[in-house]
Amino acid sequence: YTVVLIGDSAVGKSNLLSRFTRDEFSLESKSTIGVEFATRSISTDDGKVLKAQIWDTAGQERYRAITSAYYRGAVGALLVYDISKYETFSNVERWLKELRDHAENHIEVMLVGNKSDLRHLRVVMTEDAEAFAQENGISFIETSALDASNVEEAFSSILTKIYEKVSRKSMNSDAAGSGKTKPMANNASKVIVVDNENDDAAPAKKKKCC
Amino acid sequence: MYSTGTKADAKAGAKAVGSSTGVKVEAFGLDAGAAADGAGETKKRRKKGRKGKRKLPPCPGGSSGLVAEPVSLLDAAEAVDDHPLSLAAGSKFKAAHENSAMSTEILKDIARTCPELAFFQAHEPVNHYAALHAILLVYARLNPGIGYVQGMNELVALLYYVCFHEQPNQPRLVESDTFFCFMALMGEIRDNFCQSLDSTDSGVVSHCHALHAALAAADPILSQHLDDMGLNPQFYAFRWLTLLLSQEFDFPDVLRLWDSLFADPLRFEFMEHFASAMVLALRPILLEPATDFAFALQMLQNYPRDVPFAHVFALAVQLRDGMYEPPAPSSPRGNTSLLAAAADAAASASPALAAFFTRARDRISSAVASAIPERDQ
Repeated sequence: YTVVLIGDSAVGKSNLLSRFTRDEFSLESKSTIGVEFATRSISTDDGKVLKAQIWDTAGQERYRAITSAYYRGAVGALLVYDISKYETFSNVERWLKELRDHAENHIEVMLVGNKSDLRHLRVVMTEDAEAFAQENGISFIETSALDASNVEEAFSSILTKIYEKVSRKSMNSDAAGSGKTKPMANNASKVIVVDNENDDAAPAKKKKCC
Repeated sequence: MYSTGTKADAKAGAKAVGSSTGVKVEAFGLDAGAAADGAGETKKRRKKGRKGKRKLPPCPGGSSGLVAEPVSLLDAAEAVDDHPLSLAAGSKFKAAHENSAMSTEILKDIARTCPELAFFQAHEPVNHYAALHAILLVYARLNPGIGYVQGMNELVALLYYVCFHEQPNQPRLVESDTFFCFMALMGEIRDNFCQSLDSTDSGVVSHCHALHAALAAADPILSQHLDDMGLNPQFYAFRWLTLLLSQEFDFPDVLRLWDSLFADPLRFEFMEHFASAMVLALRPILLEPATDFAFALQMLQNYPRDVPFAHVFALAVQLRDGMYEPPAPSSPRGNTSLLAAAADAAASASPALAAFFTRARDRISSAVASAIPERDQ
């Protein structure tokens, strides 16, 4: 699945990504120029492995045209703001419009309030963000890339939602659909779902062999 | 092969800084060589830079940087129809608001400029970050059509570093000199920062196309392979070309590289050669069957720091001189992988390169191991 990370600059998009893919956080990370790319696989409760390809985009206006090209083909978007900077939250609406204009119609969107460790600096109330998310029919979570809280949850929740959506769709279109899709090396937006049960050599990360 | 004796400098870190005055001299004809006339010019330009700074409307952050200066907006209110909420074109209040928004935007990036260099972390006796901030703010205000774009901070930092080491006791002059150099540099590459020019001939997207063409000419097999993977230069070379490769190597190497970039009368043709060389240097890895789109892209985006800079440089020079020959296609069913062969081939000439290929092999196999195996049916 292709997922994009969008939102104002300096809200912590790159750190969310590095926390999720490499379990790393850097206070001194540089601003993203253009787009950066990373991958990680997670397994769902029912034993499926979901492979995520994540595009981390630059927040600044100037790079908008370049980065919006990556929305196409993306099935999910994490729209990030900074709970300690109100402006980044008020811009969320603009980002949603951006997605509506450039992304697929059925893209799964999740609003992410990052930097939840900065409790004493909070200016965006959780309830406000929750209400906003509900109004717009998107999901919501607060994270902290610094102390790693909810980062795993944010990504796995959106990936699971996408997975459910896609498998529902394929069930509808193909009654006998086994959900098996052959991975294509050269297509970034291909859905890669692999049945885990018979794969002994599969995800070394989570599964331990005895 | 290096054309000059600067190879030693490139490795010598601090020494490279001394010699990289060349960055300035060659690029902008700013000092020394131009003798008396040049010195007069320099003075004039410095004055210009300071004047630009004074002309700025006051801003809460202080126009000269991070330290707040006492600012009286009340003077502005004396003009009868100006008031703090005015949106009129000539309003000093409006200008001050805009200025402060711009200033905050720049500050966000200043704090994360060259975090790896202790030089910029020291705020005493000279606050380097404040100087960078002032330079960028003045530039953005003087050039509203471009304004401030993320990434400019990295370019300014490099110029500033070089200027500072030339006259460490004159921080004010360093600031104006850097400003002038930056203006001159932006005069050549500002289109990279302009969104509306992206797809024109001078925009950064067309530089990416040029890189694609250069690669295709230098090494058709590799280029075709990348195309088949869907690995478009725009995915990995956007930052390379926008920021003149300043983010892809260690600092002393970047200084060495910039010397060559600015010494190039056909600016920035050498950059294209160099960017091609960066891809070619990873050839055996990119052609390895186990290397997929994701692995290749991540490697190119985070260019491995253990590729010997000298090797890439030598490849770039070969490309420039039309001497580059892609390695002959290896036997397709051979037992040894391309990477192993490359490691063997490099072993005698450059042990560092051979070691890099060997490590890359391990990285690929561990990436393959953790990826999902493809089902046969």
